[in-house]
Amino acid sequence: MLLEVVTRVNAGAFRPPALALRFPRPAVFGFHAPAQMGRGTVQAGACGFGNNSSFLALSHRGQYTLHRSASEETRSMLLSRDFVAYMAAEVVKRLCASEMIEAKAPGALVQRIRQKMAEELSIEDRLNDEVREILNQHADEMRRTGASYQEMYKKVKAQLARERKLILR
Amino acid sequence: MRLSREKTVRLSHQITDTLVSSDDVEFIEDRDTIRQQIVQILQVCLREEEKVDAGVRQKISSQKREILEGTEEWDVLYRKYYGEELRRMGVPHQAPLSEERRG
Repeated sequence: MLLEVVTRVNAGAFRPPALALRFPRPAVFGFHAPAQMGRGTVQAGACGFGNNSSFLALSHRGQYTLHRSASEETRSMLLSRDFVAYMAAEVVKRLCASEMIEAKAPGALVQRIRQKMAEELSIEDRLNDEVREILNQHADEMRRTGASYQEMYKKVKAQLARERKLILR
Repeated sequence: MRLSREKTVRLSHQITDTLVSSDDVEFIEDRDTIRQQIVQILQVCLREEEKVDAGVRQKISSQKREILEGTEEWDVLYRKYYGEELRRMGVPHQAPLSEERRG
């Protein structure tokens, strides 16, 4: 089945191309009432729809829930903040010890590296927020068509990661 | 390991770029040699972290009562034991970057 994912997002960190979500014709699927809305922290811009009827792959189950587990809510970044700081410090320490670099202000350098690492390691979290925001904006349409939230989530996320050449983990 | 080789290499490029853009850093070796060394350093750290993770999971699974992974209770215990292991390794607790900027 063909997936076309096109959305327009005003996310600051990413500069995506214009996208618009296109949904299939209404399917005769039931849906589960949404349990909890996902937490969306990214300001996503308006998403448009194409006039022609391109179709998204549908989940066979036709389920639609917005439930997220507690562990998903609390987990952020691939590595803990403390360990990222430790890695940044180890990089500077070992590069200096092996006389590959000389750092006049190692403390400040560690902080800059730590920040850079934290940004890169939290890419997936920011992308998850953006995808949730996009799908929340299309919640009604997804209910109407019986589209599977889980499946749409995976596809939108994969599409955005591919277009932006992101390495998530 | 938590990070793929690809992700580690991406990080090494970004760290190298940070070193290059830092006026107070002097390069003694060439850029690519340094970048490859950074990859090695990151991988050593990640292997250490893997051991910590495995140890913490083992500790949770050896509890008298079964605690299922993915539950809030499991997450709380994981964070607690993980923090203890990091402190044992000598990894200090860090304030979030946003708090440091405000401070």
